[in-house]
Amino acid sequence: MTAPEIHNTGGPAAVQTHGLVRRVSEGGVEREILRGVDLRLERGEFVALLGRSGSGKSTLLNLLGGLDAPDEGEIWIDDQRVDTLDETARTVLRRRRIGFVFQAFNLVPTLTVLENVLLPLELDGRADRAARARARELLVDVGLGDRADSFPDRLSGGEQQRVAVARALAGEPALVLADEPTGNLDHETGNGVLDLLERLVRERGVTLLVVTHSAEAAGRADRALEMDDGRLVGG
Amino acid sequence: MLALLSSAARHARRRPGGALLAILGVALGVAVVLGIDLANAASLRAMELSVERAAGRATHSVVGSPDVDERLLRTLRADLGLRAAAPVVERDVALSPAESTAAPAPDEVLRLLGLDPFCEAPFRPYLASAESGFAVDLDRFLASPDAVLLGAETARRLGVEVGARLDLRLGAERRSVELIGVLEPRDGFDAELLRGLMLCDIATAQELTGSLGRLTRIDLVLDDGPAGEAQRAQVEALLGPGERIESTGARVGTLARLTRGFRLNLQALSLLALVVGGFLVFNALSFAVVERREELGLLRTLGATRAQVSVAILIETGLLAGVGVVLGLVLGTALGAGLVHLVLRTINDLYFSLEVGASTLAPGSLGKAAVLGLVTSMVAVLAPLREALRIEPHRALQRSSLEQRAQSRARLGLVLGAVLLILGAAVIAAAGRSIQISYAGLFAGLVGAALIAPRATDLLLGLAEGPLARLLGGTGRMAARGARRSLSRTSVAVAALSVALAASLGVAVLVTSFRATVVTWLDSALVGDVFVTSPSLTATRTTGSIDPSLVERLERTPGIVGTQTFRGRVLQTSVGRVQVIGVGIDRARFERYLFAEGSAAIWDDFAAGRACVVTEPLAFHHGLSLGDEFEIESPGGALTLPIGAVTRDYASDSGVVVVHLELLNGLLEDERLSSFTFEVAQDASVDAVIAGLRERLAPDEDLQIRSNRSLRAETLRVFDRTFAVTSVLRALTLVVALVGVFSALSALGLDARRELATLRAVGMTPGQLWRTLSTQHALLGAAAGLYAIPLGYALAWCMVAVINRQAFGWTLLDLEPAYGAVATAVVGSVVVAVLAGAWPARRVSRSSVVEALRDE
Amino acid sequence: MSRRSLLLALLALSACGGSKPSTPAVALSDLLGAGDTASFARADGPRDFTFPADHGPHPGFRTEWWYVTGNLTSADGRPFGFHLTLFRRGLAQPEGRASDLAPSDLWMAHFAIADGAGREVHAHERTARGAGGLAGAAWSDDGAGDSQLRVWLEDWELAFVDGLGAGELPRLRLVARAGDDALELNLAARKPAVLQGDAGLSIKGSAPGQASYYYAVTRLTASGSVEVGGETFAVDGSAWLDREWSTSVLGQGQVGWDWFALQLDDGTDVMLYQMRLADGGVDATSHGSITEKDGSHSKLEGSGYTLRSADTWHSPRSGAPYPSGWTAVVPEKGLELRITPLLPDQELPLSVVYWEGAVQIEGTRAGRPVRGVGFVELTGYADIGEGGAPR
Repeated sequence: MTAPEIHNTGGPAAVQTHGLVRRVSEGGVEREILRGVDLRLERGEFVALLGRSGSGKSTLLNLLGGLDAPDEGEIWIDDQRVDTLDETARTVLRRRRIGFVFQAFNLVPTLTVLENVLLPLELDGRADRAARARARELLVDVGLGDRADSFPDRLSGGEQQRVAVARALAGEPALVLADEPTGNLDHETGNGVLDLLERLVRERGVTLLVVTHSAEAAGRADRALEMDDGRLVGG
Repeated sequence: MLALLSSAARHARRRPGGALLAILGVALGVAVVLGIDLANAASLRAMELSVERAAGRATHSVVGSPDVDERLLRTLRADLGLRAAAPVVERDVALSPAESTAAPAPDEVLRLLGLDPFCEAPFRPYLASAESGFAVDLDRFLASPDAVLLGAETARRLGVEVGARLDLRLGAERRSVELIGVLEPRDGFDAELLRGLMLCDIATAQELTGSLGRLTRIDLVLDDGPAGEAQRAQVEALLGPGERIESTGARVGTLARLTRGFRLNLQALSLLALVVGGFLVFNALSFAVVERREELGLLRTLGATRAQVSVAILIETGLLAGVGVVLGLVLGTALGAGLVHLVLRTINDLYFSLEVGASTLAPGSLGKAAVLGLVTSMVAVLAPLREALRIEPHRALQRSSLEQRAQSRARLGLVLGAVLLILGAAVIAAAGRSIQISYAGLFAGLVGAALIAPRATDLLLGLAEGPLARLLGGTGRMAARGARRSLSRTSVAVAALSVALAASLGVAVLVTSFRATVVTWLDSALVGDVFVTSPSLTATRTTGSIDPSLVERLERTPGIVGTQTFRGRVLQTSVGRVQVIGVGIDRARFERYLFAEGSAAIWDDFAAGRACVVTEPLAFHHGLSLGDEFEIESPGGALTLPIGAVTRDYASDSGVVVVHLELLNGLLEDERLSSFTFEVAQDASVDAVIAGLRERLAPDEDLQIRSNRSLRAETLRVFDRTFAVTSVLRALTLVVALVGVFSALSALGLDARRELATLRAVGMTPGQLWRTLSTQHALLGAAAGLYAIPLGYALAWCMVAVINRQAFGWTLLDLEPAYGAVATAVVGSVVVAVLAGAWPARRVSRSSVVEALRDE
Repeated sequence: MSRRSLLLALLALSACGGSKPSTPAVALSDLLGAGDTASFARADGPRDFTFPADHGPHPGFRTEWWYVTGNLTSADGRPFGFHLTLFRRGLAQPEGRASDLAPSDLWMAHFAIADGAGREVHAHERTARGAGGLAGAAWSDDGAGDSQLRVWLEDWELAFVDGLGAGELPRLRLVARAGDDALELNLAARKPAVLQGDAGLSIKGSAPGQASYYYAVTRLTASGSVEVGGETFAVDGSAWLDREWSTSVLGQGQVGWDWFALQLDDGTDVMLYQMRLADGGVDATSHGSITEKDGSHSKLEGSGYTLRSADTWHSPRSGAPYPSGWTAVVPEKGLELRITPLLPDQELPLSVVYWEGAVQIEGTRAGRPVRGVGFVELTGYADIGEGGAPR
C-alpha cells in the first residue's frame, strides 16, 4: 500500500453508511440503538463523535469496524460494501484496512510489545523482515523504541495506549477507529496519546474516527458529530 | 460480613459457570475415588471367589503314608477346636457297564470323593452351592451304605437317572451303588469342578474302598501368618507315625498369591484415583478463587479486612464443596454400582453367578471420599486466597503479579516435588515387607512427580516454542506462549492429566507384564500336558512314592511324545529345612526354566549332579547368589553343591532347591518318584491320552491323572477376564481426568474472553482463533502425555520390581514395553486435551467480540 | 414336609467355619418328626421313668434334646442369659455298617449368651454326625459302679456328674466355647426331676403318638464363668434343664409354641406353654406345671392359665413379629406375673430361626409380691410356610 493521497471532496468516501439500524432485545423488548444513521467520512479526515453514554456511539464504531453487523442499512468502506460480508471476510477486511484503539488498551498479555504491534501483520501473514523494521520504527515514533521486548503489563497505562496506537497503525490501515482512547488515562497523559494519534494519522493520511466525551479532543478534529438517541445530529 | 457473603452469592449467580465448574470438579473428584473404591472391592471379592471356587479353601492337608487315622479328625475338631478340618476319602473307581447293556464300552473312570457334609462348608463351596435340583435325601445319603451323587452333566453323559444302580470296580472288588441324587451346578465353573466326580458320605467311601478307620487326608484351613504357624505346630504335635501336614501345594498357593498380587494392584489403582481425585478438587476450587482475585482486591480496597474476606471465601468454598461432595457421593455410588455391575456381568458371562453387589457400600469408602473432597477443597483455596490477600489491593488487578506468583509457585512446587520424590524413593527402599509403607512411599513419589509436572510441562513447551513458530508462524508462537502462560491456571489440571495418564500407562504395563508372567510361568510350572501323581498328593511337588517302572509302562501310550519325572523331599540344608526337588528332564526342558540369574549353560554340570538350582524366593530370603555353596544333608550323607542358577518361581513363598533326579535318588538311596508329566502330541487329544493311560493301569494301581492343558487354559481365561476389569477402571480414571481438563480449559476460556476478543478485534479470524486455541490445548496434552511416559514406567517398575518383590520375594518378568499403551497415552492425551478444549475454543471463537470486550 | 431344606441347612452352613448362615430358615417342625418315622418308637402311652438311665439317650425315638437355660449375674451385677441345647435326631440306620463314621444320629447344638449390658445375643450353631466321637451321648463307668453321662458335640459338652438316681439331686457340668464366647458352669439341682404332663407323657396334639416324654429339673444353682467377646466374668445364678424325647410332635395345623420356664424368688417354679394353631387359636392339649419349693408339683391344664402378650417386637433380620412381654395368670394358684424380656432382641439367627431368651418377672402370689427370672421360647414366628419349606 502506497501513501494515500488526500481527497477532500469528490472521489469515493473513506466511510459511508446509509440508514443504519441496530436493534437489541432486552428482556423480550426490542430497542433500537441506532435508528437510521447516515454518515460520510472523507479520506484523511479526523472526525470526533460526541454524545451521552448510551447514545449509540460505540455501537456505530463497532459496526464500522466490522465487529458487529447492522440489522438494516448499508456500510461502505472505500468503495466496498461490508455489511453483507461474512464473519471471516469482515475480519480480513478489518485487519487490512482498519485499526482499533480501545479505552482499555487491550494488549495481548502473552505477547511482547513488538509482537503486539506486529500482530495484525502476523495474522495476515505479512510479518516479514520489512514489516518488523516498520514496526520497530513505529515504536520509535510512539516513543517506546527501547521497550520492544517488554511484556505489556510492565508498561504504564499511557505507554500501553501508545503501543495500542502503534498496533492500530502497523497494518497501514485506511481507517482508525478509537473508542474513548483517553478514557482510562489522566488528562496530561491522555493529551499526549491524542497528540501522538493525531500526528501519526495525519502524517499517513489515514481517516480517524474518535469517540470521545472530551470537548478538548473534539476541538482538534476536522469536524465533530454528535449522537443522540441513535441518530446523528449536528456536525 | 453479610454484604461480603451476598456479594459472593451474587458472584455465583452472575457467573453460574464458574460455580458450576467448581461443584462439578469437586463432585468428580469425590465420585472417582468412591466409584473406583467400590468397584475395586467388588472385583477383589469376585477374584477371591473365583480363586476360592477353583481351588477350594483348604490351605493345608494332613496326609499319611499311605493314609491318615480317622481318629485324628475328632482330635482336631473336638480337642483342638479346629473348626475348619474336613475328612476326605478319595479314589478312582471304574464304572462297569450295567450287566444288561450289551455294548462292551470301555470302563468309565470316576473320582470317588467321600466327604462329611457337616464339615464341608469352609472347603468345597461348589458342592454346597449346587442348589437347584439338589433334592437329595440327607438321611439316605448318610445312612445308606450305597448312596452316591453325581454331577448332573456326568449323570447325563452316562445316561443314568436318580434311582439307577451303578456297578463299580475298585481294584479287584466289584460293588453296586445307587444314584440317589444329582448335583445341578450353578454355572460352568461348578460344572467343570463336578465333572467326573462321584460324591458320597465319608463312611460310605470308607466302606466302598475298604479303608475302614482310614482317611485319604484331612483338609484344613489355617490362619495366615504367625497364628497359622502356631496352629500348624499344634497339628503337627498330634500326628501319628507316617502322618504329616503339607500346604495344599502349588496350584492353590499360586492362585492365592496371585490374588494377593491382584489386590495389591487394585489398591494401587485406588491410590491413583485418590491422587487424580484430589487434583481435580484442588483444580476446581483454587481456580474459583484465582478467578475472583480482582473482586477480592476491590473488597480489600473498600476496607474489608483480610479476616473478613477469608471467612467469607471459606464459607463460600465450604458451601460449594459441600454441594460437590454430596453430588460426588451420589455420583460415585452410582458409578460404583455401574462398575460393579459391569465387573460382575463380565465374570458371570463366563464363569459363575456371583452375589457381591448390593451391600458393598462401605462407610469407609464414603468417608474417605467425603473427607478428600472437603479437606482438599479448603487446602485448595488457602494458597490462592493467601496470595490474593497478601498483595496490595490495587495490584490484585495486575496480571504480572499473578504470573510472578505462579512462577514462584512453580519453583516451590519443583523443590517440594523433588523432595517428595526422593523421600518416596527412600521410603520404598526402606519399607521392607510392609506394603502399607511402600504405598505411602509410592503416594509421596506420585504427589512429588505431580508437583514437578507444571515445571516439566513448562520446559517441554519452551522447547516446542521455536519449532512451532517456524512451523505455524505467529499463531504457533502464540499457542506455545499461551500454553505456557496458561500454566498458572492449568498446571493442576495438567498434573492431574499427567498422573491419570501415568497411572493408566503404569497399570497397562503392569497388567501386560503380569499376564506375560502368568503365561510363561504356567508353561514352566504346569509342565507337560498330563500330570500324574499318587492320589493322596494334590500338589505338583510332593513326597509320594511311585515306582519308576510304571512310567516306562505308561509312556508307551499312543500320543505321548515326552516325559518328565519328579521327586520331592524336605531335607535339612545349610539354610534350614527346604523342599528339594529332583527333576528327570532333558536339556530342552531345562532351557525353558525362567532364569533370573545364570543360564541353561550350566546344564552339563546340573545333569552330572555338580550344580543345583535355587528358586528366587529362596535366594531372596536367604541372600543366596550364583556360585554360593549349598549344603544338603540326607540319609546318604551330606553333599555340597554350587548354586548354578536362580530361577523365577511363583509356586512357593519359601522357595525350593532343584537338583537332577539321579542325584536326589542317590542321596535318598532308592529310586522313587512323586509325580511325572507327559507331553502330548499337538494333534492328539489329551482326554484320549488320559483314557489310554487309565486302560494301562492295573486295577489296584491308584493314580491321579489330570489334564494340565485344560487347567492352563482355564487359568488364563480367569485372568484375562479379571484383568478386563482393570482396563475399565483405567478408562474411567482417564475419562475423569478428561472432564477435569475440560473444566479447567473452559474455565480458562471464561477467564481469557476479553483477551481473545481483542485478538478477534485486531483481525484474527474465528478459524485462526480456533486453531490457535486447539494448538495450545494439544500442546498441553502432549506435554502431559510425554511427561506421563517416564512416570508411568517408573510407577510400573516400582510396583513390579520393588513392591511385589518385597512383598512376595519374587519379581515379575521383565517389564513389557506395552507400546500400545504408550502410544495411547500420548495420542490419547493430545486428543483428550484438544477435545476438552474444543468446546470452550469453539464457544469463544463464536462469541460476540463486542460483548466480550464490553465485559469488564 | 421338606427334607431338602434341612439338607440345605446342614450342608451349606454346617457351622464348621462359624460363617453366618445364608440359607433360609428351617422350620423346627422339620427337625421334629419329619422324614421316615416308621422305624422309630412313639410316645403313645405312659411309661415308667427309670433314673439314671433316662438322663441318657433314647435311640429308639427319632428326636431328643438336652436343653439347659438360665439366668446369671456377674459379681458387679451384669445380667446374662444363657442357653445350650443339644438336639439328637435319629437316622433309620441299617444294621451292620462297617465304618465307624457311619452315623446313627445327627446332632445339632445351639449355644447362646444374652449379654444384658452389651444388649445383644451371641448365638452359635453346630452340627455333626453322631459317629467317630464327633458327637453323641454316652455313659462312662468310673469303675466304682458310679456312671457318668456325657452329651457332647465336638467341644460343647453337658456332663451329668452325679446324683443321677431316682429322686436324687443331679449335678452337671456344662462347657461350651465358640470364638470369643464361652461358658463354663457347675450346675447343682435344688429339686429332683419332675415329670411333666401326665406322669411324663406330654400330649402335644390329638393324633395318636403325637406326644413326647418330658421331664425337667426346674431349678439348679449355677456358678462358673461367662466369656463374652473375649471378656471373662465370674457368675452365679439359676438354671433349668429340660429333657424331652419323641418321634412325632407337631401335627397338622400347629404352627409353633410359646414356652415359659419361670423361677420365682419364693421357691416356686412354673412351666407353661401354649401350642399355637394356624387358625390363631391354642391347642387344647397345651399344659403346664407348678413345682413348689419343696419339690412337690402339679399339672396345670391349659384352661387353668392365661398368657396375654403386652407388646410386639419385630425382628430386623427375619421381619418376624414376636410377642414381647406378657402377663401370666394362674387363678387357682393365685399367681399373677408380669414377664419382661432381658433384651427385646433374643432371636437366634441360626438355621432354625426362633426366639429363645432370658426374662425377668414381677408379680404377686396370693397377693404377696414375688419376683423372679426365667426363660421363654417362641417358635414358628419367622416367615416360613406351613410345613416349614422355605422359598
